[in-house]
Amino acid sequence: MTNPQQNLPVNVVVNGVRHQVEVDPRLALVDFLREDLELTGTNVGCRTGDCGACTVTVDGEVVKSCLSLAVSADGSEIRTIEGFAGEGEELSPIQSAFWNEFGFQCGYCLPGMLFCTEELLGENADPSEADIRHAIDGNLCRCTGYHGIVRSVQTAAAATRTCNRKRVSE
Amino acid sequence: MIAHRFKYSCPRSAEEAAAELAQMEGEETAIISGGTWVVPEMSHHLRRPKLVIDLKLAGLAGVSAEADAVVIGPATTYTQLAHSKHTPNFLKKVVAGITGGSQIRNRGTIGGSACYANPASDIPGALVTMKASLHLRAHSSTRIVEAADFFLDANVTLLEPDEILESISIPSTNDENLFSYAKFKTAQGSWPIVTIGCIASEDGVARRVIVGGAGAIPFAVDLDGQESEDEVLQRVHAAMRQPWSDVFATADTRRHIAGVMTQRAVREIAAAKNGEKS
Amino acid sequence: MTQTIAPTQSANYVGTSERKHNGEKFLRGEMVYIDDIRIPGMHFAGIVRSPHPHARIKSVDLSKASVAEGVIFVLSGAEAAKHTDPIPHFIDPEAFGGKTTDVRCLAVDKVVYVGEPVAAIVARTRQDAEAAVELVDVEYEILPFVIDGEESLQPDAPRIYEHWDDNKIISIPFISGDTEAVFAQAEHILEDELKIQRYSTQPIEPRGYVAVYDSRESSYTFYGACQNPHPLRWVLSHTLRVSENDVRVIAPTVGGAFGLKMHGHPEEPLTCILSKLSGKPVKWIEDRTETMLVGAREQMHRFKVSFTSAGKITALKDHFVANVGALGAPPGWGMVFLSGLAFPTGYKIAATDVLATVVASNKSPWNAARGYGKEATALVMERIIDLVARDLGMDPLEVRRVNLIESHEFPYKTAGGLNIDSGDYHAALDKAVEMIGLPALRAEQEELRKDNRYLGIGFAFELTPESGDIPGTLVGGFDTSTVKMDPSGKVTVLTGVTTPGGGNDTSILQIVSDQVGIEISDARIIQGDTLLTPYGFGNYSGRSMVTGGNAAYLAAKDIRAKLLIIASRLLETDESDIDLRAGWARSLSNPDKAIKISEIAYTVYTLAFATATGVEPPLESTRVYQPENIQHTPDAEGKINIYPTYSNAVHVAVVEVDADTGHVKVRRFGTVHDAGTIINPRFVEGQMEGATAMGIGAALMEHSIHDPATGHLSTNRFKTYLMPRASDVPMFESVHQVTPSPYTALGTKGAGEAGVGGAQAAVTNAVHDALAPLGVTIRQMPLNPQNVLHAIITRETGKQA
Repeated sequence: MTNPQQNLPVNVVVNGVRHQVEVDPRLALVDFLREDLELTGTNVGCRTGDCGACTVTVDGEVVKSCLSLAVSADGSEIRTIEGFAGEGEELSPIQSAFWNEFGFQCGYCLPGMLFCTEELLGENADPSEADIRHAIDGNLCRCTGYHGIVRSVQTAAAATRTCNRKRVSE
Repeated sequence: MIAHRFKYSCPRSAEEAAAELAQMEGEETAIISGGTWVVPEMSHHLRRPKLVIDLKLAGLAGVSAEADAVVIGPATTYTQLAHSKHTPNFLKKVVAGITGGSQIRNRGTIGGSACYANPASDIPGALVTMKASLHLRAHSSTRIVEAADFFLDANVTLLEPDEILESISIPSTNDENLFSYAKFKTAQGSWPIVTIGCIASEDGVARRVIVGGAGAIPFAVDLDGQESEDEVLQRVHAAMRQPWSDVFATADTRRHIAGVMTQRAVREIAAAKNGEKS
Repeated sequence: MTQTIAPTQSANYVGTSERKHNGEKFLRGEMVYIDDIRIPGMHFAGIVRSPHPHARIKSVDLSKASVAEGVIFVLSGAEAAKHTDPIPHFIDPEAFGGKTTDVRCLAVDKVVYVGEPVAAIVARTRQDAEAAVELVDVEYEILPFVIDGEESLQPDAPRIYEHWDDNKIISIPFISGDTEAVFAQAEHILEDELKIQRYSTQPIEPRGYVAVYDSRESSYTFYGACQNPHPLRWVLSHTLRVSENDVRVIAPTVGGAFGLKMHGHPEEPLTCILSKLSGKPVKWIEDRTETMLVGAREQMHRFKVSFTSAGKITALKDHFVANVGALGAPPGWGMVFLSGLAFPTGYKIAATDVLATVVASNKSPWNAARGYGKEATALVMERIIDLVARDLGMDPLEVRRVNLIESHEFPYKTAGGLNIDSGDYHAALDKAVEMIGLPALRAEQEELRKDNRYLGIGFAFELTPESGDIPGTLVGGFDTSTVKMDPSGKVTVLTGVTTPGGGNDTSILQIVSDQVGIEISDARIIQGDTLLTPYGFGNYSGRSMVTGGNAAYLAAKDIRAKLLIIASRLLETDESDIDLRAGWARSLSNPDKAIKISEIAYTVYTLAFATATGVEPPLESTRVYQPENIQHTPDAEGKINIYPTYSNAVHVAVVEVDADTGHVKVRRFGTVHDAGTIINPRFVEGQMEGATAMGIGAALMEHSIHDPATGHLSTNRFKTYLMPRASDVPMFESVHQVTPSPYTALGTKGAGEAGVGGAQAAVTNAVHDALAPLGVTIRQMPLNPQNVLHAIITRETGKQA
C-alpha cells in the first residue's frame, strides 16, 4: 500500500515568471494559479471541463485548467489571461476587438474566448463564421448569445491580417 | 475540489505503470492520460483513488506506421491525431468533431476515452469500426484484444484493475476505402445520441456499419449491400442489444435515430461511390 | 403626464454605443469576482446536504467531522436555529392569501428536497471543508415524496409541510368579463395544453459569499455575488437578529445573474453565522452541481379560447399549475403570479379566466429567472395565436394583426389591470416581416418540402412589463442616484442599482457625462455597497436604466444647472448660449470663449463667497426617480398596476427540422425591439441577444430533469443540462423601434428580460410551421429530438400524443 503524498516540487513559468514551489497534489491547475499564485483572472465555472472559464495555455496549447492537476504541469510554460496581452502595456488586437465589438458582458468567460480566438487565428487567418463558432464551442457564455463574440473574432481576424500584411510589406 | 489524499506517480513506461498497479492489491487507482475524466470525477468526489498514475512521462503518445497497421499510443491527444500524417482518414474525421472545444481536443486522449467506455463517446464506436486491437499490459503479462470484444457494458471494459492500455493498432488495409462518419447530437455541447461509422469494403459497398451511442456498447450491423432502406432499418433494430437511455433520449428514440442514421450512412457511401464513377 | 425630455441638448454619449467604460480591466483579468476576494484569516465553509427528497432528521453526528484535518467549527441545524431566525420571504405567499412556511439556513427537523442544507463545516482550506462534509453522519427517517406538480395536488399526495392541509401554496385568479358566456355563444372553440419544462438561469459564475463578523463592533461585512445588496441587508439583519445598520453588504463584480443571485438563499445567512460562531472570516463558493439545484419556470397550461371566423379571439381560459418545488425564501414562486397577470399580453381579449395555481413539491426551490414568469405567458399566448390560425386556415400574422392593441389605443388597460404605456405593435410586426424577407422564405419552404425538408418560419409578439413594484415587499419600483463633482471636475456616481454585467454602469455614466459636459473617462461609478451608495433595490425587472438611470439624470441635471450659472458668469454670456461638452463650457455664439469644467468646479468650491455666490456648494445631488403609472390603489374592479413601462418586441425564427430524427436547427433569428428611448444601442442589443440565446435554449434543449425514483436531479452539470453553444445559434438580426414611454423622464422602458419568452415562442412556432404538412402538435417543451420525434411518431401512428 502506498502512502499518500504531501506536497511535491513544481517548477513552472507562468506569464514569463518562473515559480519553484511545493504544491499539494490535490490541487487542480486552476486552483494552483488562483490560490497559490493569486492569478485570479482565470475563473472557475464548473470543474467539469464544460464552461471554459478556466482556460489557459500550457506549453502553447489551449487547455481547461480545471482538468489537470497542478503537479502535472511541472516543467511547463503557462499563460493566463493576465499574460494575454504580452509584454507591452497595450491590449492585443484580440482584446481590443472584444472591447470594441461588445464581445463580453459579465466577463467571466473571457479566458476561454480570448485564448480560443488566439489559437484559431494562429491556424486560420480568415475564418468563416462557422469556423469561429466551432473554435469557441468549448466555452459557454450566458450573456451575449455569442453574437458580439463572433463579431469580435471577425474584427480581430481582420486586424491581425492587416497587421501581418504590414509586417510583410516592411 | 479534490478533497482526498492520494499518491501521485509519473512512471516512465507502461511497464513501470503496470508494476505500480500490481502493488495496489485491489485498492482504487486512477490513470491520468489527458485528465479530462479523472480530474473532474475526483474534484466532485465521485472517485477516490489511492494511487494516481500520470502517463505524461510514460512515452505513450504518438502515431506510427508499421507494415500493416497504424500504432497509436493511448496517451495521444485528439489534436495530435488530427495532425499526424499516419492517422487513418476515418479517425481524423472522428477526432475533428470531438465535443468540448479545442481545449478538450488538446488534452483528451484516444486511450482515455477507450478505457472510460462512455456509451456516448465517439471513440468506442470508432475503434470497433476500424477493427482496432488493443494491447493491454499487466506487470507480468500482456494480451491483445479486439475492440469489438473490449467493450462489455456502459463504462465497463475487459481492462483488469492491474492492467494498462499500452497501444492501439489499427489495420491499415482499408484506409483508402470510402467511409462515412456521422453523429447525432441534441446540441453542440451534448454527447452524441448516436454515432455511425462505416468503412466500405474495397468495392465501395457499405457492408458493415458500427452504431455507437445507441446502446451501452457499440454494435455492428452487417449488410450485403442489396438491402432496401426498410431492410437496413430492420437490420439495425435487430442488431441492437444492451439498450441505453440517458437524459437526452430514451432507448426507443436512440433505436429509431440509429436506424435513420444508418440509412443515411449507406446512402452517403453509395452517393460517394457513384460520384467517383462519374 | 411628464413630457418626454430630450436627453440633453449636447448629447455626446447618450444614444451612442459607448463601449464598456471599464472594459480593459475585464480583458486583463483584473476584475474582482466573489471568489477572488481574500480576507486575512479567511476560512472555508462546506455544506452537508440532504440526499433524500423528503425525510425526517433523526440525528446529526458531527463528532468525526469536528476532529477532521483543518476543521475549526461544525454546525447542526438545531444549533443554528438557536442563533438565527427563519429567513424572511422575498415575497411571502401568505401576504397574498396563500400558505407559508419557515425557511431556515439549515434544516432542523426534516428535509423537503435533495440538496437542502443540513449541517455546515468551517475549515482551513476548501479541500478540508469538502473532506469533512463527508464525515458527517445524518440519520434520516425516509418519508414518501412527490416531485410531479399535478400529483402533488392530489389529496393523497405526501404532505410536504405538515401544518398545511394540502400542498397548494396559492391559487390566484385573474378574471375579466364572463368567459363561459362567451364560450357558449362562440363561433369557434379550441382547447389544448402545453407543458413548460423546469429550466434555470445558470450564469457562468456560480454564487458565492464571504462573511466577516467583527466581534468588537458586533457587525457583519458581507460580500456576495448578489443582485440586491440593500434588500439583502434587511433579510440578513432579520435572520441574524442584528440591526440593519450593523450589516454592510458589498457586491463585487458579478459574473452574470439572471435572477439566480436574487436573495433568500440559505447560504447567505449561513455564511454569516458561521463567521460569527467560528470567529473567522468565512467564504463559501457554490459548486455547479449546487447551482443546478435552483429551479424555475415549470408550468402545465391547459387553455381554451373562443374566436370568430375572422380570427378575433373573444375569450381565453387558462388554468395552469406551476410546480415551484419546496417553498424557498427567494422570490421564485412570485414568477407564477406574473405569468397570470401578464395575460393576455398585447392582445385585446375582453373575457379572460386565468387561474394560476402554485404547488409545492419535493424538488429544490425556485428562484427568479430572467423573464420572471412573463416568458411563460408569451409562449402560451403565441402558441394560442398560431393554433387559432391553424384552426381557421389563416395566416398567423393576420391573427396577430386582428387582435393586437392598436397604436392609437395607448395607454391601454389590460384585462389584468396593467396599463400599457406606448407602442406600435403592428408597425413592429411589419418591420419583422420585412427584415426576414418573408415571401422569399415561403417560396424556399415550398421548394424544400418537395425534398421532404422542413423549413419553418415562426413569429412571436412579446410584451415585457418592466421596472415593477410589488406593494408590501422590497421589490421597489424607484431608485436613487448621487452625482458628485469634486474640485478637480471629476465625477463620482453612486447608485442603488447594480450591474450583473449588462452595462447599466456605463450607460449611467453616459447620461451623467453628457449632462455635466465631461469626458466619460473622468467619471466613475460605485454600485453595490450599502455603506457607500444611496438606498436602492439593485437589479431585476429591467429596472436599472428606468430607475437608477433616470435618477442619475435628474441628479446630474442639478449639477449642470450650477455649472451653467458659473460658466455664464465667467464667460459673460447667457446660460442658454453655453454648451457643456468634453470637459469644456463653451459659448455657442462665440466658440473662442470657453472654460474648462474643472475650473468651474474649482470655482464653486474656492470662490463660494465671490464668483460662486448664490450657488450652493458642494457640487453634489442625490435624486430619486419614481416612474409614473404605478397604481397600487385598487381601481373599481379591484385591480392594481405594478409596472410603469412595457417594452415589447416581435421575434421571428427560421428553423429547419429533420423530421426523421426530430433535430431542430435555428437558421436565422430576428427581433424588432421597442425598449423606448435608447441610451446605448449595443447594450440594449446585447441584452436582447443574450436573452434570445436563453430563449432558444429554453425552446430546444434546457431541461432540469429529476429522477422519479430517487428525487435526485439527473441534470446536475453542463454535460447533462444543455445550454446553447456558439454553433447552436445564428447571428441575431435586430431592428430598434422607439416609442418612448410617456411615464419615464428619459422615455426608457427597460431592457434585459425581453427575449427569453419571445425567442422560445418564435422557435416553437417555427418548428410547428415547419412540421405543418405532418400536422404535428408538440405539447411538451423543450423541442429536443426526444420530444419532437415522439410527437411526430405518435401523430403518424395515430396514438395520443
